[in-house]
Amino acid sequence: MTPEEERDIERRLRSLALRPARPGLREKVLEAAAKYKKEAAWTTPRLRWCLAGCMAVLVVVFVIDAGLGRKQQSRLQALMDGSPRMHDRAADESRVLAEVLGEPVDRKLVARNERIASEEMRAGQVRREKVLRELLKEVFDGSEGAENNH
Amino acid sequence: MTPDELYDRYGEMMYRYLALRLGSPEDAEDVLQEAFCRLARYSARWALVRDPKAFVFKVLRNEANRHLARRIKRREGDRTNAERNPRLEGVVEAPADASASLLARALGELPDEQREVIVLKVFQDFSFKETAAVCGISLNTAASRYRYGIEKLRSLLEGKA
Repeated sequence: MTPEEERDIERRLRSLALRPARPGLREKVLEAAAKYKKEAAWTTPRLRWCLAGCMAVLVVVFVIDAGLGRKQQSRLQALMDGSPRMHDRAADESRVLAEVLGEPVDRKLVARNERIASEEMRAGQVRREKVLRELLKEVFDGSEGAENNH
Repeated sequence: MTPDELYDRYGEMMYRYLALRLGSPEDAEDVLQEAFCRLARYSARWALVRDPKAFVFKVLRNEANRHLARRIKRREGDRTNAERNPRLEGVVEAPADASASLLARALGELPDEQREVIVLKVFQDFSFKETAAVCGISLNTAASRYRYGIEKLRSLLEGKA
């Protein structure tokens, strides 16, 4: 078949007038589509608000939980430094102090001493003498203060 | 794109395509409605569609194929070609001359895949590339189906003239 013959068939096909869609088809089709879309939606506006609220609550819970977890972890880290060795070294200071004083040291002071020593050791500044000195100073100043108060 | 805009842009084209493929204005209306329901469901993701025309016609084609499959199933016992092929005289305005009437009948007698390519190319002004995308075939297949279809139309017209 020659290109002319092909073009002729094409021209004749194009000359075929198709019947237009009947009036009112547009409205019918769009109405059906809108109805279908409404029915197909598994969520209602109210349910969507509820879901959004639940999601917001979940996000807040996760954020708070993560924050608390981090805080707790840092507190534990500060106390223990995650390493029993560090804790032992800090406890040594208290033991030394108790030996020097010849009496048990106040538990609050021991805990404070352990914390300070742990933090200093973790920071790589192992200054046991300094820690001990400060602690002794505090113990004696505190006892002097207490005596003065009496 | 809202369904209204979609209809204003493609509604007429879609109806013509369906009428020529199915050969029945009533069926074309039903399938058009089904296709619009599907498209309305997808309207939230419409912005993701790169080529709206190809997308719309692919949805439409699939819906038309489903309709044809149902129709064939209903007429399972009757497998004559004349029954399976649409009679396009119902969708074409009363032809002015006998040759136009013959042409409409010959178009209806073409195999579905060839008629589809001709309908898209001639009546919808699709390029071969667009036709291939809509039909899910290669560019060469689209072009050869078109050529075979036109050739067959010519021989049908000459045979009946």
